[in-house]
Amino acid sequence: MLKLVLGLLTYKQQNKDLYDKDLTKYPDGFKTLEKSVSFMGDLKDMVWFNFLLFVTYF
Amino acid sequence: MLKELETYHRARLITQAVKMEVRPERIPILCNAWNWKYLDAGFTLSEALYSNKNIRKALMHYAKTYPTDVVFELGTRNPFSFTQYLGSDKHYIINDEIGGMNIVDESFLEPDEYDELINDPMTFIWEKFLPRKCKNLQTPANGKAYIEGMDAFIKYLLNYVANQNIYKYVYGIPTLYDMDCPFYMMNGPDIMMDFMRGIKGLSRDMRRMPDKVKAACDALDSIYEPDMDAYQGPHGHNRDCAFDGAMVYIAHTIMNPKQFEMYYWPGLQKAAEFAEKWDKTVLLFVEGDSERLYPFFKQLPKGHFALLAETNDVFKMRKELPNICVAGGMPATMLGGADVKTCVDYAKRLCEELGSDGGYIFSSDKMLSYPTDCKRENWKAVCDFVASY
Repeated sequence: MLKLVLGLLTYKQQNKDLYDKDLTKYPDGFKTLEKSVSFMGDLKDMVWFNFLLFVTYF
Repeated sequence: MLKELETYHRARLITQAVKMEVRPERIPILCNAWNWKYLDAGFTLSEALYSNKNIRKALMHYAKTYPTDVVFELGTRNPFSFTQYLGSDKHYIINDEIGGMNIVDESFLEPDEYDELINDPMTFIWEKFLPRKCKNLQTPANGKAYIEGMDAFIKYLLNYVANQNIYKYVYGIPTLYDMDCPFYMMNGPDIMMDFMRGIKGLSRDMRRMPDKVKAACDALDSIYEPDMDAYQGPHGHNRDCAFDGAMVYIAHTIMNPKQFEMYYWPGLQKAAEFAEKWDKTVLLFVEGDSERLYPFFKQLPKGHFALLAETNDVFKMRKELPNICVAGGMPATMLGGADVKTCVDYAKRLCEELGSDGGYIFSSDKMLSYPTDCKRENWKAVCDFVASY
C-alpha cells in the first residue's frame, strides 16, 4: 500500500528520464509507458486499460 | 454504516424497477444532468472541467441540493484535467459566456486507411490516431506529454474513485454501474463516429464501404471490449451499484434499422445473453430517437434492461416495450421553460401512468447540459415531488 501511495505521489519525478524519449512507435513506446505504471501492481491493468480508453474517447 | 445501508436501499429500488417483479416502494430518480451540474454549482465550464477539485465541489452541491438515487456522471466526462497535457482538449470549444460546449466534427482516420486499422488496430491507434488527436504527442520526443498526461490521469482516476466513495459513504448514493462487470459502455460504431471518423465521415463510409466499417468496428472492439467470456462472477446484482452495466449508444442516430442490425445488434445480443446468464441489470442510454429500433429492443430479456431514451414518447414506449424498464420522460424543454406547477403536474403524470406498477425510473429526457436546459427551482420541485410520491 505504501509503495503504491509513494508511486502515485512521485510518478512524474520517477519518470523524468522518459521526458525526452520518443514514445511514438508501437510496441516500444507503448510498452515503455505501460511499464511506467507497473508499480500499481494489481491495479496496473485497470489503470492502463482506462488510460487507453479515455485518451481514445476524449 | 447508515449511509451504506441507504446506498443499498437506493440501489435496490432501481434494481426492483428494472426487474419488474415487485413494485419499488417509491419511484427511483436518476440524475441525467451533465455540465448543468457544474453551472448550477456556480462554476463556469472552464473552471469546472479543468479542475478535479471544482468537480468534487459541484457534485457535493448536487447531492446536498436535489433528492437523487443515482447520478449518471460523477466527473468522468470531458476530463480536461489530464487531456490538456496530451493536447486533445482543443477539439472542444467552450463558451463560458453562454455556458455551452461544442465538439469539432473531425476525422482522425482517412478513408484509405481502413485496412491499416483493420489489420493492426493497436499500431494504427498508437502511431497515427493518438498523435493526430493529441497534438502534444506529435513531436518525436513526446515522452513528457505522455508522462504528464499519465500523472494527471492517475490523479483524475483517484478523484473519480473518491467521488464514488463520497457519494456512497456521505450521501448514501450508489455508483451508476459496476466497473468489474464486463459491459461495454461505448462500442465500435460509437468510437468510430464520436472519436475517430466523425459524423460526416462515418455516414459516408457506411454507405460506400459497409464491410470495411464493420471490420473496423470489430477491430476496435478487439481492443476496447471487455472480455465477457472471462467473467467468473459473482452471479446477481452488485448491491453497491444502481446497475451492473451502462451502455451508451449514439451512432445509431445516423443508421437505419438494417444498419443497426449490422453494427450494433450482435453486441447488444451478446450483452443480453450475458445479462440473462449472470442475472445482471443494464442501463441502455439510447440518445436521440430510437423508436425505429423497438423491434430489436422487444427481443431483450425481461427484467434486465432499463431504456433511457431522449426524444421518444415514453408513454408509447411503455406500451410497446413491456419487457423493458422505462427511464426518463421529464422534458428538458419543460424544465427549462415552464413554471414549477407545470413541471410538477407533468412529473405526476409520469409517476401515475408509468410508475404505478413499477418498471419506471424518473429522469430528464435529455442530458442536462446548457443553463437553459433546466431551471433549478423546477428540477428541485420535481425531484422533491417524485421522492415523496
